[in-house]
Amino acid sequence: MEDLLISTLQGICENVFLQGSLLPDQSYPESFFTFWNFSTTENSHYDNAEHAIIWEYDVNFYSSNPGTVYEELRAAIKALKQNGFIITDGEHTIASDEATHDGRGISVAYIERS
Amino acid sequence: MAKNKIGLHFAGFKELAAQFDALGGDLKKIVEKALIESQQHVVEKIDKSFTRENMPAKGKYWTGETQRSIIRDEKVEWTGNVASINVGFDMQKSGMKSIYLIYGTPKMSPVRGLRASIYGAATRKEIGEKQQLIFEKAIKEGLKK
Repeated sequence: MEDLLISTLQGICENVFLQGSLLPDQSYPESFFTFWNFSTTENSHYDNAEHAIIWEYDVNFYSSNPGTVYEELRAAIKALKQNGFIITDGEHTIASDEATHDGRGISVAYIERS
Repeated sequence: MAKNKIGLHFAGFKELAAQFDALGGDLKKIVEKALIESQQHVVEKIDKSFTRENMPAKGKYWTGETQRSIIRDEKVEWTGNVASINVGFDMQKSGMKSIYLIYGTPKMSPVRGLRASIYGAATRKEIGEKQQLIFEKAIKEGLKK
């Protein structure tokens, strides 16, 4: 599932990282996405069989250009919806380690049916 | 965000509430019981995430302040006929710390399990099942009378 998430985000900005994976002394790229798989839930409805997996992710976009933060995240929302993701939590401000960068995030879910 | 409200989350709530009401049950009381137990469920899950090993830098900077800001007030709010209860962290007490722990930063991973404890699909499902059981049990007891 992460392959689809990453490839969708890379269609907008090629820098995509796992949240928390940048090294302490590493400089932020000018613009980039981060993601974090915060929940994976097996959903069983009948016969005790697993029929769907709900993948939930936080997706964040950081940039040194405040205007880009809004534009690119909205482009990501559109692209993610087109690829079957559901937006479960709308745009919100997200913390940045660097004063030079602003960040905004969303939460998405993908239901993988078997 | 830090004050996340939850309500009654299961399919068939209206039907069960109508049955319970028809049996002469105290609907307000049972709704509040279901919401308080939902909050307790979230608190238990958040508390499990708060281990030193799970914290940034293996808990080197642990003060316990954020854990103390977990909402445990068991206070149900009513807006007309709609009831809700707060879950998560009290931002006035935790400030930005809880946000850092829940969402992380590009250089700091989120605390594993914390986000899912409050917002995850599994938690929502567990809360719904718990609430449904409370109503079903109350109806069974009402039928015995």
